[in-house]
Amino acid sequence: MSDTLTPTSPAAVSSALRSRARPKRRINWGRVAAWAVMGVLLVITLFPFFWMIRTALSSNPDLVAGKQSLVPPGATIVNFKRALGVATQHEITAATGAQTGTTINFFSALKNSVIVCTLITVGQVLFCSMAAYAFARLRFRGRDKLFFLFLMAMMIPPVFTLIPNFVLVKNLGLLNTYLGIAAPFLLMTPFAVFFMRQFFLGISKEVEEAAVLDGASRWRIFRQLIIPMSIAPLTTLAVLTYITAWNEYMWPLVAGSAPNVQVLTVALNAFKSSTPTAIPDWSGLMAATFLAAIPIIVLFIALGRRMVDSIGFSGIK
Amino acid sequence: MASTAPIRPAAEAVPAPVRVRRPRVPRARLRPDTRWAIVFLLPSFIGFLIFFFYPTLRGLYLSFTNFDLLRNSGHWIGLRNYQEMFSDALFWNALKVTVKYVIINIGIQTVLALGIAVLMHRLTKSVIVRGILVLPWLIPNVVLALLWMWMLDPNLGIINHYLNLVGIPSQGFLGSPGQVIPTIAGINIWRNMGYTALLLFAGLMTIPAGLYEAAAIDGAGEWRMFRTITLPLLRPVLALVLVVTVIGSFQVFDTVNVATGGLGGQPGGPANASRVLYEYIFQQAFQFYNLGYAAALSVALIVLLSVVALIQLRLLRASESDLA
Amino acid sequence: MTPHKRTLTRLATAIILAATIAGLAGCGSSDSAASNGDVTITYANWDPNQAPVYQKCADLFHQLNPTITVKLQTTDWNDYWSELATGFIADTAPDVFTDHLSEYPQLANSDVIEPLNRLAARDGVSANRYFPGLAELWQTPNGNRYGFPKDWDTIAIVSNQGMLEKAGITKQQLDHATWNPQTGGTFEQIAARLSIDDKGRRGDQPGFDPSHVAVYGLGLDPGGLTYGQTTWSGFAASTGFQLLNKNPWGTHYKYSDPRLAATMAWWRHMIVKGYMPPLVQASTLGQTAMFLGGKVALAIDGDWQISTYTAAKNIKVAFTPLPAGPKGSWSMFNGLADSIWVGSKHQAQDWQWVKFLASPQCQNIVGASAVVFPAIPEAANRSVAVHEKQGVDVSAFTSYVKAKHTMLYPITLDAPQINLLVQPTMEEILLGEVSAQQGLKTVNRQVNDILKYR
Repeated sequence: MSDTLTPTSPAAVSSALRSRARPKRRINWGRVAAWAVMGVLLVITLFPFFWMIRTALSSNPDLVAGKQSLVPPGATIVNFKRALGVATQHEITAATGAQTGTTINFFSALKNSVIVCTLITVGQVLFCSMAAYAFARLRFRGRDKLFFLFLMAMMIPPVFTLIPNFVLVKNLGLLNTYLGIAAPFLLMTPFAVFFMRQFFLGISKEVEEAAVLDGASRWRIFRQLIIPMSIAPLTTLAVLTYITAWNEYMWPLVAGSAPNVQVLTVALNAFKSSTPTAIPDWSGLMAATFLAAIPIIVLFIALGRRMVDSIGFSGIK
Repeated sequence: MASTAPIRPAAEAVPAPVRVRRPRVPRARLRPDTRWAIVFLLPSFIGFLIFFFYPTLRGLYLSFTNFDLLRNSGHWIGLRNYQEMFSDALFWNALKVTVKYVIINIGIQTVLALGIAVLMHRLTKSVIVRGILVLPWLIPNVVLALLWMWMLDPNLGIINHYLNLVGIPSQGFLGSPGQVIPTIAGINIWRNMGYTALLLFAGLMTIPAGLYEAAAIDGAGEWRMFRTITLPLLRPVLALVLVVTVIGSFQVFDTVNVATGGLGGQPGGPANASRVLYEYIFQQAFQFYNLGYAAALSVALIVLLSVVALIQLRLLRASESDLA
Repeated sequence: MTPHKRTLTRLATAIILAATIAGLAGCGSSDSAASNGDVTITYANWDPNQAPVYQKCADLFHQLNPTITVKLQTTDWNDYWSELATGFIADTAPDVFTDHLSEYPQLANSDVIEPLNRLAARDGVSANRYFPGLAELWQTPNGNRYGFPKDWDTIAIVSNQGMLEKAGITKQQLDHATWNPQTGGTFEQIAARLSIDDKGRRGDQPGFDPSHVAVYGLGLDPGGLTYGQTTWSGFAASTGFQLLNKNPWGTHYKYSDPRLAATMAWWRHMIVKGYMPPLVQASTLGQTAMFLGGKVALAIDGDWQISTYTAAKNIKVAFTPLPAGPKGSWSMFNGLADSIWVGSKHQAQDWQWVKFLASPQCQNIVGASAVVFPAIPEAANRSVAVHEKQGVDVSAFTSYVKAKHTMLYPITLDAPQINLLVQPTMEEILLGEVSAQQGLKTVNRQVNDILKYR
């Protein structure tokens, strides 16, 4: 990043740009170009989703025959039914041309994902914001060193911790349980602590100090003062955590492979290729993926506005 | 615990120093702080110890052994894993491939995300637009990799179909040694640019709108405002985003594991062109069952990440902001 | 002081409460022995197409052994082995699982699968009732047997009949094609004729443009190049080439043999001439996708894919043996078996199930469904008959066995490490980055070093 700091107070800016000209026409062309760029970006972002849905509406034999039309010939929703596990055998054979298509217990996997993600989100938001408050506001020996140590945890590649965590969870008897799948993420994640700390740092100290002088305990301050002021970043963190947890793959694969606790990302594996040279069940996979994404999209729509509109990173100084 | 620590906060080389304007607090007040710190920190600290610290120590120990995953046993062999690592051509290849990937991925992604964030900030406040841009981030990596494999296939993929329509010959993308890393980078950029833009956008919101208004009154154009107002004031957030995305980028795995080497083939191809370090570690652990060697490779990765992060933080002077 | 303690206690209670609830809520059932002595054992495989067939076997088995229930679980190929590995560590591995020749040497070496000799001898299970050669693949040099063959596969040419007719080639011509690494024999001529460039010119016509080909004569399977099961193995063998000094349990690879170099050079030659797709084009979705998409006229594939090809809409397929080289038409001979995990708590029941899987009773069921060729010859004949009834002639796959022109899948130690070295080298050869002779010489040295210094 460049070292040249330009003066930034409004007065300085205006004195630096002593020009009285007001060429409004220039801005319009710029806006057009900007909208064009935005349009391209939106198309690039949305096209793969369109293709995902288009593939989900096709039948496998058509797909491998290489038909590329925008609207699939013989569009059918049987793949969605297959993904949900409500298609009949006859429909399955017609759609995939095989003796049996892949089946997953969609609703069970959905339920599992919801339970695990809720567990993780509640735990992470609660415990990490507590820790973040400690790092932001409390004074104690070694505070910054400890924070740095927490941050260093971000550098640890998950594969490094995979096996030891796996052995630990097994020894605790928590394999193939919801708690076991949630365990490594439940108590602490470096990003969450970092994120909330940044925000807490930016909260004005006066009110807090007043409360301390009034004799309120730290916990009370935290619960009744800090938390209400931080609903926006807390919501943001919760949504981010939920989505990240929803998309976790390696750990749930390893710690929760039993069919009754499989989360969606693991259950979707059933649609991947079955043998080294066979082709995946494309239409089924795309249908299942789309269905699996719907809850998250709904969540994002519901909370996204709150999260995006009122984020204040004012704590970053 | 009689604290003799000074009242002023310890200024470490950690981001975000605190502006101190608080009234002087009597010394006796420091003791409760420590006790409260324990209360607040206990759960996270336990989580940190159990799921980060202990595994790291264990992994470090494993790197000095020849632990076999299947046998679940091994014994101490000292530095042999590390010696083998330095003479392992595939290790150096993995490093090279990973660095190439990170440069392409982060370079393009940051520029794009910054541009998108500015567009979201100055062009339109539409939440729908923001929502759409974040949509790719909501889908699990492994599924996206399969989707893109399907779209990028030279024979059946829709992307090549459209390229052919405008006269461009079919590209190998994931099957071409030269194109595979940029392609993987592209897939991840597509996935992450909206989310990264959102983070940067949050940072943009902290810049007082008055600055832009004043500049507009004085006739400054968009580009000039971007250069003189936006960029400098965004630096701390940009630094944070860069550090996090670079760390994540070095650990690319899901996309490579699923999308390279074709279906059911060996990932990392063709001809080792996409065998990133993380993939190599995974293969050593789960295909060769060489947990000791995989641990040594992971240690190398951690060291690399730490060095890079430190350099970044120094270069970007993330602890300071120009926001008055 | 009190606020701290109170909050701390509250916190601790909350955590413990939450943990208990969550732990109870998600308890997976791992107890497989009910109090009345009934046992449930888990059996793992990776092919969902075969799952219903083995379910039938499991049902019949349960009728014959009412106290034992077999629960099938299918994991996709990509995650199968890593999931097994974590299962071994976690004591959650399946009791019996489908094993593969490329993996079982390591598993045997690490003592995670059971040797079956004693039980086999006690119960009089002989290895003689299978196709010759299959059973010895599952024995280690010290005589321990880790599985009984349950199916076998060979490789053949899959042809798009419609394209053959349009090119004026009869199936008979294809059936009697000849091959040699120097000129490619009549087989190359056929492939050339079947290749069509984007201007409609065929490969054997002047002006054929190798860089703009619409349909390739011969397909390329980009995976498995180390042993070349679905690419070079049959062709090289037909020149008299042998990959190992002995098989199974060879100790010395012969990748640098000039006959293999000539075969790989011919493979590269086919790409250069435009009769075979370049690696770049073939490697994302693979040969099957190209064939089903009508981009390739002939494919080299194994009999486990028969149903995929015959299910194709709009394409009529036929199967032909690999072309005859100097020593005839040869194919690699491979087979799966089932292994028992040493950590299983129901060893006796596992053995009953494995015995049943290896017996004619189960293999006849498998044969009747025709998803694979069972390892017992009579059962295999049933498979062939079923295919014939459906109008599919699969004699190509059995022809090698009759002529005794099969070579076994190579078995050595350290197969994954060797794969890590050879696969990229083969890819480089096919990409033209290195000559076949040079690449093979280098990799041969590296590979034999691994075996020497293990």
